[in-house]
Order: sequence, then C-alpha cells, then structure tokens
Amino acid sequence: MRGADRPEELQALEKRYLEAYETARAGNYLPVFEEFEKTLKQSHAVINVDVEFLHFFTRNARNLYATYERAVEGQIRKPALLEFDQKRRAVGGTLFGSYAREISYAALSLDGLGPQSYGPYAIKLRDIAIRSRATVLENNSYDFVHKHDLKLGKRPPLGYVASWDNRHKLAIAKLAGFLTPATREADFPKLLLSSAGNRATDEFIEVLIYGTFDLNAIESVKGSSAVGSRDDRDLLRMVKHQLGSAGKTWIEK
Amino acid sequence: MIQQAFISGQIGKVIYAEDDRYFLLRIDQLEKPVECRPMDMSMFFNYGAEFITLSGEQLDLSQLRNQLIAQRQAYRALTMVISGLDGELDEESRQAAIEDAEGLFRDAATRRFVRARMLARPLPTEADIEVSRDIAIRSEATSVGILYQSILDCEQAITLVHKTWMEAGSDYFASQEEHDEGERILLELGVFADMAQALARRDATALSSIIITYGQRPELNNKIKQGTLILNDLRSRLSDKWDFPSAGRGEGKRKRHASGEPEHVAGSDDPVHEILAQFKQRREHPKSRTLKAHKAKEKVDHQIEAIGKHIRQGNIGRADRFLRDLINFHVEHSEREHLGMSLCALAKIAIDAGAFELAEQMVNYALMLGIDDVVISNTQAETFKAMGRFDDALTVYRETIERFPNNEVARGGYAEVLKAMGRFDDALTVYRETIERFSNDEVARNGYASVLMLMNRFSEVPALLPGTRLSSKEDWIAYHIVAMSYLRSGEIDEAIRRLAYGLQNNPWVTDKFYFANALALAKIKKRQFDEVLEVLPTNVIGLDVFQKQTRLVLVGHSQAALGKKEEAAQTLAQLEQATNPRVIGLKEAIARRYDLKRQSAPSLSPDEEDLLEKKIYEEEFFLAMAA
Repeated sequence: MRGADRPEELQALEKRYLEAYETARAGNYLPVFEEFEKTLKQSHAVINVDVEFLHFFTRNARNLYATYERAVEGQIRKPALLEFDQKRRAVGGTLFGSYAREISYAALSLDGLGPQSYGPYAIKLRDIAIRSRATVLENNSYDFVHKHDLKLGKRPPLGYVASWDNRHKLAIAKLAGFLTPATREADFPKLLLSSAGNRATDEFIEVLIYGTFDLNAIESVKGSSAVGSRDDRDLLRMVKHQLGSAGKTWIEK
Repeated sequence: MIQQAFISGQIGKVIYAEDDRYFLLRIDQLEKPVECRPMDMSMFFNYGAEFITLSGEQLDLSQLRNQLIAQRQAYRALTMVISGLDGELDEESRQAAIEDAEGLFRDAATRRFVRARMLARPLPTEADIEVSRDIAIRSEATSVGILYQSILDCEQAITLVHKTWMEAGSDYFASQEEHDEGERILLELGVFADMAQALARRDATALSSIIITYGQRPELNNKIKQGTLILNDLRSRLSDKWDFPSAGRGEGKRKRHASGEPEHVAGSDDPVHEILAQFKQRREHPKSRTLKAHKAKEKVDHQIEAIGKHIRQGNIGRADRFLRDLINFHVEHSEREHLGMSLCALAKIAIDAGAFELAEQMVNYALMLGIDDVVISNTQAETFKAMGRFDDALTVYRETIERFPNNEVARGGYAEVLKAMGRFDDALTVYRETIERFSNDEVARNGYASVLMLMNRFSEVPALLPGTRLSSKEDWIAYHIVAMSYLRSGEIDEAIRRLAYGLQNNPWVTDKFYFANALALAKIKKRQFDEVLEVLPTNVIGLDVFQKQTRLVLVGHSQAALGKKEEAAQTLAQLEQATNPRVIGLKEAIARRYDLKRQSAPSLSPDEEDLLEKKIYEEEFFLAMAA
C-alpha cells in the first residue's frame, strides 16, 4: 500500500494511464474507454476456493468447530520451518520483502467470478473490509516476477502497482489497448479477468491484501450447488446456511 | 526428489518441495500437481488450517496422495460429526452430516481420529448433543451415535482431563512450541480420549495402562522428551482429583482407619460388610468352641482349596458364594486374624488367576476386620501392583514399612514396584538397605541383582550371586538371573545353555515356567522363532496369569515373525483381559510391528522397525525377569 503511494509509482502509473487515454482518443473509442473506467471503479476483489476451503473458512470462526478442529488450543498457525519460510517468500519476498507472508491474494473482478483454476467458488470481499489495506498488481505476482525477470534482486518496474482507490487506472493502463469502438459493457468482465481453468493462461489483476480476513469480510459467494460428491453437496448446504446466518449472500451460478 | 511436504487434510491440499520448487496437490486433482503460487501459499498457511510436515524421508508422490486421501477423510468425518452437533443447522443438514460421518466411520483409522478429538475437549455450550444422538439413532448411524453417547458419558471426565492438562502442561516443556507439539501428539494418539474414558468408567487400571500402552509408541517417545513421565504425572494428578470407587476402598492408610465403619466403604450394600463389622466388635463368640481348632482349620483349608479352584476356573460367582460361607464359618468358629489370613491366601490365588477385582474385594474384607497385620497390608499392596496401580502400591508399602520396619517382604515388595515403574536407582537403594538390614535375605539379593541387570550392569551380577550350589528355590532364581545376565550381555548361546539346564533340572515344577519363558526369549533374540513354539507348548496347567501372559506374548511374537499372522492375532487376542500395562503395550507393539491389524496406516520404515523391535525385546526381557 505504502509502495503504491510512493510519488515515483504514482507518476509512472499516471503516465501509463494518460498514454492509454491518448491511445483511446486517437482510436476514436473514448466513450468505451470512459465507460470501462467507470465500471472499473466498481470492481471488487474475489478469491476462488474449493468447497473444502469454503466450508473450513465459513465455520472457522465458530467456537463449536474451533474447539475440535484445532489440535492445539490458541494455535492459529504453526510456524513453518525457517528454511521453508524463506523459500516460500521467494516470489512474494521479491515484491513485498518481509511483509510477504502477511499478504493475502485475490483477483480483481467485475462480475463476482474469479480464476477458476483456484477453485469453483468465488468469494467476493466487501470493499470496506479491504480498501485501506489493499494494493493491486498488474498480473498475478508469480507471472509478474517471471515476466519482468525479478528473481535476481532486480527492482520491479514502476507503474505496475496501484492503491485500491487507483485500481481503475492500473486496469486502464493494462487493458485499454484491447478496447475497440465495438467493445460492449458485457465484454468488460472477461477483459479484466480471463480464466479457463488453466493457471498458465489465466490473466487477471491481482489484489494484494495486507493481513487475513474472516467471514465478516465476505459480501457474497458465487458458485454452483450441483457439483461434487454427496458429502461435498452436504458441505455446501452447510456453507449456505452459515452464510445466511451471517447475513451473506449465496449467488447460484 | 521430494524434499519436504505439508499435508492438510482439513483443506484437502498438499504443498511439497521438489528440486527447490513448490507444488500444490489438490484432493480433486490428485493426478495434476501444479506449481505453487503465492495465493496457494497464503490460503494454505494463513488461515489456521492444520497440517502435518513430512521431511527427511523417501517421499514420493503416491505416498503423498495416499496420505492426503486418508487425512482428508479423517477431517471430513470430524467436520461431519461436529456439524451433526450444530444446533444452528436445520435437522435435514444435521442428519445428512451424521449419515456422511457414519459412512466415513467404516474406516477404523478415521473413527479413531475423530474419537481422539471429540473426547479431548470439553463440549462447547453451543453443542446440541442430545438431539444429535437422537438423530444418529433414528438414522441408524450407530457408530456416530455411540460416539455422541460416549461424549455425554465422559463429559465430566473430559473436562477434568482437559483442565488438568491446562494446569500441568506447561510444567513439562521448555518452550511453548514444544508444549504445543506435545499436546498435539498426545491428542492425536488418543491419550486424552483414553484417559477421559478410563475416568468415566472409574477404571483406575485402564488409566494406569495408558502409560505403558502409549509409553511404548515411537510417535510418543521419539517426539516428546520424557513422554512416559509426563503420562505418569498426568495420571497421578487425575487420580488425585477423581473419585475412583476402588481407590477409595483400597487406599492404604485411610482404608485401614475407616475399616470400623463399613458404611463408609463404597458398595456398602454388601451384606458381608455387616457380618465383618459385627465380627470386629465381637470379643468372644459363644459358639467359637463348638469345633476343635484342628477340625476348624481342616475345614477352612478345604474351603480355601475349593474357592481357589473356582477362582482358577473363572467361576467367580461360585467363588464368591463359597467365600461368604467361609466368612460365616470363621465368624462362627474362629478368630478375626484367621479370617484375615484366609482372605489374604485367597487374594493371592485370585491375583495369580488374574481375578484382580475379586482379590481387591478380599483384601477389603480383610482390612475391615480391623486387625493390623503386615500380611494384609502386603497383600493389599501386591494387589495394587498386579492391577498396575503402582502409586497406590507404593503408598501402602511405604506405610507398611513404617509400621513394620523389620518386615523384609514389605521392603522387597516396595523395591519390586519401583523396579516395575522403571525407577531402578530407587529400587537398588531399597534393596541395598534391605540387604544391610537382613544380610541373609536371598530374595533381596536376587532382586538387587535383577535390577543391576536391567540397568545393563550385568557384569556385576555373577559376583553377587552364589556359584554352583543349587538347593533352594532362591538358588534357582539366582541361577536364572545369572543366565539372564548372559542374555543381556549378548552371550546368547551361554544364556541358552544355562536356561535349558534350568528348565531341565529345576525341581520346582512351577518354577520351570520362568526358565521356559526366558529360554524362549533367548531363542527370539537368536531369531529362532520356530523353536520358541517348541519351548513354550500351549495348554500348560499350573501357570499363573502372569506367566501365561508372558508366554502368550512370546508365542504371538514368534508366530508373527514367522509370518503366521492369523495365528499370532489369535494368540494375542487371548490377552484381551490383560491388565498388566506392559503386556497390553507389548500386544499393541507386536501387532504394529508385524501389521497384524492390517490397518491402512503407513508401513514402518526400517528405522522404525528396528526401534520397535528393540523396544519389544526390552519389554519382553522385563517380563521374563519379572518371573
């Protein structure tokens, strides 16, 4: 967050944004550009998970489950081995230094759907729960590090990260080149986030959230009820119940 | 090569390191691991999901898949059992959860995992367990219903075990990390659950057995320093806080002083209590001279023999009825002291037959007579020892030694309990003091030598024991100990030669059994398992329960080692009623070493096999020495 607000980052992002604007103007699709930008300001963070994690996450805060599901009381997270912890931070550490392991990851979405390759259920996060601690990155951090060859201590290029409130500018900078006068509003979600269930071809803007979140941070969950084994479906029924009890919305896909 | 893996059954994922890259394996995509992204790491590690870590082993992908499937199934069953308790869910969802759990419970390891969790934590107030149990019964989800009922039955005990661990846990470990790891291991092994269940059943013997049963598990000893001591301390704390009916009856000093008030004794609806109370008050009975003394003794001896026979045959009901007749006869024609001795003699027969409850009952009757006799005290302590209640046995012996400082039996018994608890230094000290006080006490001398041997100081043993003269029973015991010192020092052939000689020439028939057991152990050490079956024929008459159990262990072990798994399982199944914690532990260890239960648990690595075999041998050696 602080990194995205550095003057040189802001300047570089603004420069990319203005270049995109000029390109749209020159290409005669400024109305589409402006409509896209307006829509992007309403974009939100989604996290895709499977039913196992979804049930775990929605029940996690409840004492009934926590009593039995944590082998050691009070233990939230077991420390991983030091060596592993360092390696695990390799990608994140390149970008976020020692904060890497505190970061949660989501994808920027317009239609409540996220990258399917992470799971069939998309958790949409409430804007208010993340806006003060979220940053967006042009690609998912794994691809970003490889794309810009950042492994050997090279500094990330400027203008590819933005604060939550400037997320539309980063998306414009990344995607304006794909707009045409014929682009329709219905095309915007797929433009922002493209996923066919293959991580190698997934394309999205990553949302980096400092810290974790709980059920309160969820606005809705989107997915299909008619998949999986019998006990998967039973789990999903319980998830819906938990969501309903907590005032969260289930959206059938 | 896979270097390290983190497996979370709770969220159905594995993250593993291979050639310094990290991969993700999902339960729904077992054939397609993908390279890990930061998002995967975050979801795996940052939301409190439980996981286990594997490293330093020959890990391969199929192993990880199998582990993930097993772990996921266990956690899924746990989730479903908890959901069944969830009063916020509608009944249809709860029923579905319970039915799902019942299906998953077909796997024994899954069932054990869930039980270990559910009986280790006090029931949260949100749990709606009576309704859950009823739903389970209605749905014919029997296993889940039984589990819910067990939680209800054990509710107070679970709370006590949990509270006691919370109070004591931090005393056992140097750091919070060690504490957490220790707690996790004990919980997952099922130690807390077993303790709660033993308390709920008011079964002090079962509580004591936990120490040995789990004390031998490599999972405990390899990972928790002083694991057995921790278990022992926990057991002591629980025993102090829990009202065991049998402990109340048998506890030495208190019982002795309370014996005049039989109504204070648990189970005082027993009519014998009243008879004994009256007997205690009586100064002289008018009918006491209706039989001449030698006639009365003859009659009593006859009754004891008949009762003993029923005890050995397992006809406890009949033995009990005959016992009442014996008591009535003593009341009519004899003195309290004589009845006390009769009861002690019968208690010893009951101990040898493994009828410990009956033995304890007889000791309690003897204590109620209000006579301060060292034999009664020693018998009480011996009963506790046989039941595995070592702390109680120590207490009684200590008090007995205070009151009867010149009784070498109490001192020897005290040392034997210390030896059985593995407190070898303390046992040596007691034996040494006994030898100093009673220089001709051959029992103490032999006991001292046997402890030296268990401490691997076997080279000191031959010098301590006499040479070639073999006339008394104690001489033969000494000869046995020297032979065992050869076995301990690795001179197996010499040990076999001596033990075979003892088996052949010992004139006391019943004492031949301990030579036979020791010889069988030596054969096992030489891996001559087929010869063990020749040395230890089955259906031998005259064996006491301890000798028989040792024999069954050695035979079962040999059968298992010869690949006769079904026969081994049948042999070891005969130890079902064993209360000796060491025997129970050995039964489990042998089953685990040779996979007699054919569980889906991962097979042992060569190192684990080696470690387990060493432990089995150590315990078998101890059994053979305790002969």
